Amino acid sequence: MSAPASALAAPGSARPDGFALGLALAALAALSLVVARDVGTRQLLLLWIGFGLGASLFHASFGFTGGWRTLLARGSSRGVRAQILLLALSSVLFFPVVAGALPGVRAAAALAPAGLSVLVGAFLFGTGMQLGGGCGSGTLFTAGSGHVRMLVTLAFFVAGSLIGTAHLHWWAELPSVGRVSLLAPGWAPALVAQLAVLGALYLAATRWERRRHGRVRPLLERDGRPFLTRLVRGPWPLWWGAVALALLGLATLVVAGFPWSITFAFALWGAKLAQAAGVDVTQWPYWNGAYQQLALSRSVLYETTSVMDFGLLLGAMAAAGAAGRFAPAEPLPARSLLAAVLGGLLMGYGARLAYGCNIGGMLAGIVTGSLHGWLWLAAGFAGSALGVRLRPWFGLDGGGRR
Amino acid sequence: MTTRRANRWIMGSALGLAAFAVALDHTRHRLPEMQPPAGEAAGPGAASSPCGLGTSPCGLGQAASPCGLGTSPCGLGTSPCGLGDGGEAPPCGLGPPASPCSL
Repeated sequence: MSAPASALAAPGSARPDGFALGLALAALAALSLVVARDVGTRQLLLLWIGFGLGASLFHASFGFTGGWRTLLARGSSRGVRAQILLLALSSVLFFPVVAGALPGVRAAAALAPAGLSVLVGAFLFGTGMQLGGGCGSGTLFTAGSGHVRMLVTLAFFVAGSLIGTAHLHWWAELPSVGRVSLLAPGWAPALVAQLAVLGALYLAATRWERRRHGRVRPLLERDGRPFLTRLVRGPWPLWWGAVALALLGLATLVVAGFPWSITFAFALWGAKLAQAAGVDVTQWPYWNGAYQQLALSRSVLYETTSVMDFGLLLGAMAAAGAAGRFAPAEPLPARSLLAAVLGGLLMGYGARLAYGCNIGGMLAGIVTGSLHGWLWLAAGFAGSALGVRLRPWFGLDGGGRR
Repeated sequence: MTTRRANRWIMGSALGLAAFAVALDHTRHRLPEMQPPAGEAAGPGAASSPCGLGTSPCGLGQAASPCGLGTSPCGLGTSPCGLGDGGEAPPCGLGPPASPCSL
């Protein structure tokens, strides 16, 4: 998740944008009516949770892409430390739930095979997110806040996801250790071990920044504005974002019965568009799965990740409207658009190979105790390192023609 | 450099197009109303029609409606993963995928 500089610019003084705020709230109200009438209360709740996620992501500018890039390129660890805080909080909240330790609450872990397809897919995704300028949720929330370049990234993200579904059966045959749950020894010892690893990563990130800059910028920063003003109009401190995402992630887990996920919807949208164009995707092995078949055969509003993604887009739009930062003017040189195209394709394709993006694959995997989530993190970070090096070739980060 | 005004037009158009596509998809996949055979009044079966039909309780917001609960066939949001369905359905990622987890 990464927001362009204009979305991160010091805000708070701009007047609210009534057009964006009104459009987002009207669209949310219309969608809520249809979902409540035709699908049900559970789906309605998930739509609203998605809305909250979009608003939180925008207001906190909470980004994996930007956080990883600033660590790699500038040695600033603040974004990465906020991500580690999110992982730790979510682990504490999710482990007992997926282990069935809470009476009356049942939810499933995001278990997926830990193998070569995850390594390749996450690496491609990591490279793509640096070129595209955002990951799954980052692409959605920056597109929702009116960044035209991210619409290009999103369109090719959808295309890449569709192509990935055509090839996944081949990649899935590659070597793998299978689905490995780290909760097998018991959720409590697994949680202690996971928090220890996350704590070590936090310390390493802190030391990295201190070595580069001689000091460490704290996560907890004070702001003199009233709480409510800051809550509605932003910007939020990063730690607010981490707490909000952890709580809304827990709400998703409890209401949906499975963790927050984003990119299956992109593959579904691509498949539906392909079908409309006369391509029979049902001949592809991926679309013969039970969930996939059902998703293809019914309205997109019955599919959870799609509805949450719609909510996320609208939440970001409303938050950008409240902050007066909707649809900022931005440069769109051809090379930057080419990077958006490549980044979108790489992320879409990579997300399918890696069984999800940095949210459905990495975050959901790690905080529900799946080994593949940690593999995703390592490979995705390595891919990002390559992506950061490639960005100047596309005129990003002020890079010239090379 | 795109202007703020141009961006708003682009965003508004994209949102309108997306709304049109969703509306098209939603109406296209809704099953038609069940028509009773000519000369035959709708029987009790009509009242207990499956979810998704016009006579279904789905989405009416009635507290007694099964839609949206773990055991309901209505909607993909009601994936059997981890929900209280008696444990017959496989959890996410095991066996046939029944949720978007790990797809």
